[in-house]
Amino acid sequence: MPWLAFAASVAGFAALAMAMSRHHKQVWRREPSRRRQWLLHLAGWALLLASLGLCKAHAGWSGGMVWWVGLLTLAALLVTFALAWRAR
Amino acid sequence: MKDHFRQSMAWLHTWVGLLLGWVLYFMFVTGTAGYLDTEIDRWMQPELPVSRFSVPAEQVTLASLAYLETHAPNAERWFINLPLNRNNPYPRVSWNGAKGAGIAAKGNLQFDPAAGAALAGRDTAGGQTLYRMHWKLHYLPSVVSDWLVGVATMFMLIALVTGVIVHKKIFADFFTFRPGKGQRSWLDAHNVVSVFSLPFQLMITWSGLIFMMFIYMPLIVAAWYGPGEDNRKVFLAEMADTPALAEASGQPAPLVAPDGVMAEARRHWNGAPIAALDIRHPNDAHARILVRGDFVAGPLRAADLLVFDGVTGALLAEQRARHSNAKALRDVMLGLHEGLFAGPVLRALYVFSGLLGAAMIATGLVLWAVKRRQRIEKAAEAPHFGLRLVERLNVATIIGLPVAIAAYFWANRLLPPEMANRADWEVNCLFLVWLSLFLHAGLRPTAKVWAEQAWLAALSFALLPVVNALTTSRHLGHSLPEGDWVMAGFDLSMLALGAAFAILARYLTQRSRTGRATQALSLPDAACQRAGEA
Repeated sequence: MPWLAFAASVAGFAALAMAMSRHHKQVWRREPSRRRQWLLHLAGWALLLASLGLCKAHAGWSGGMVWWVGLLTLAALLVTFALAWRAR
Repeated sequence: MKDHFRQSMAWLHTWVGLLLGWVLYFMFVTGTAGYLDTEIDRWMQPELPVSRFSVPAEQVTLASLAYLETHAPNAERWFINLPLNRNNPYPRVSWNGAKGAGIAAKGNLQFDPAAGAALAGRDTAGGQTLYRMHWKLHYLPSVVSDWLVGVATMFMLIALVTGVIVHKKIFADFFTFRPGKGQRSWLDAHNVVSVFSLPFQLMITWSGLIFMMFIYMPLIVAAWYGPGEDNRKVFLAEMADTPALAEASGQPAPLVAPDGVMAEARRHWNGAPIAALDIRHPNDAHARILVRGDFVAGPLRAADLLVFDGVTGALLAEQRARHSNAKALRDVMLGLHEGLFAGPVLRALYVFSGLLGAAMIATGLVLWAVKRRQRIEKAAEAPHFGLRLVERLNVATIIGLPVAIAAYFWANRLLPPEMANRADWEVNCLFLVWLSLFLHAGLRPTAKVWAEQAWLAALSFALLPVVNALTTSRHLGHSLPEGDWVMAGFDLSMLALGAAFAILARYLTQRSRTGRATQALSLPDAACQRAGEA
């Protein structure tokens, strides 16, 4: 379950990064359309919430929050380094 | 107006961060090591067996009671800590107020229930001393260290809050890291590391203050309960809400067999485990057995407590883990800070977040120096004393402290086993090595000092498994096939740290070669390219 939560938070942050035109251009070499941006935003937040739900299912509310915050930190860092590596 | 506010916050962030940064870095590094305290303990006492949590609690309790009957008769209190998980790898028995010829009044030891004797390992300061350093520092009386740590923690909180205010593009730059761009990259790294771990950093800093709130704000207790130590004790007893216990009667009476009491406690808690038995006035007619549940089952750092009559075994009183909201809030903050409830994966996330805290401070300190170094280089001025001092303190802290910790582990393996005050000397080795690295940083050219200390760190960590193999039989060739994951995990982590420092050192060496004789870290890209083309 924590692994699934981790996957969801990586995917969530990746979607949120792609919703930003700077990072979208890094990966796809063009501006995202408004609709695409909106969908990525929605997907990103939904995945982060799903990750919270999975953490809660794994360790209850109090423990789940701790898991979630820890996983989000790792996931965001991973996405950032992946983008930096891609931009070289 | 808004810009003026941001500027003054930037000033505060810069100078508060610089002034306390080195102490905070020490607190973060040793505190992070503290998340692995019992694992480090185990590596530093390789004589001890692999801990086993499968021995039934009754069996451990009976063996412990037999030991206490012989070694601590007529005591006021016996305490038996049962091993549930990595927080207590071995049973622990302790006592106080024992009376009799040749009897120690107080004692506290790790216990081997199979042998019915204390577990014997080498004299070591262990992971516990490393962990305690993050708030007790060392060599200082607690009045000084408590307040120094308190001021540092308060400044940390200020630095966190002002940092968020100063960060102009916290959302726009959320995923932004641009390597190889000098000062820009350091700022990006500082931002990314800080923003991503901000919830952890706020939690750890604030809860750190809560740990010591009665030391920093004694007047609040004094205002309600009156001044002095006695009133303070009244307050603490009321806060803990411990059920009232009888005084000793002086009439001897045999202690009830523990299994009935333990079975009753488990029934009461729907099968939840027993973590400790606290026996007051054993073998007295007024004996009481306090049975405690696991106080680190979750972030709420508190346990249910049952009080039994020590002679009849009847249940007398009960206290719930959560009996007041104010205390529960404090217990949760302390529980989150210590993370004792965390299993292996969550513990790894705790360690990772702690390391990000250390990285946040380190990048902030480097950024201070890089910014000023680039400014004076543009103006073709000579670096002033303050800058040179900060640059040297930075190396000797950021790289020097890890080397000193490695030296602490080396000392554990190399100091003679029969040495007097051996445990103290392990710690002395840590600080002596650290001191010598400050001297090294002060004497060598700044361009070289980063790379040199990084190479030293790489070697001192990577060779630790080798030293372990040469001095004990619990090396990787033994621990891996045996599945002894604590020993193997330590050795493998040291290899990983060695590799990480080697990568850093290689990078720093390349930078100092391609650059002019300036500070290796601050070289702007243009300078590097010019040097490369020349």
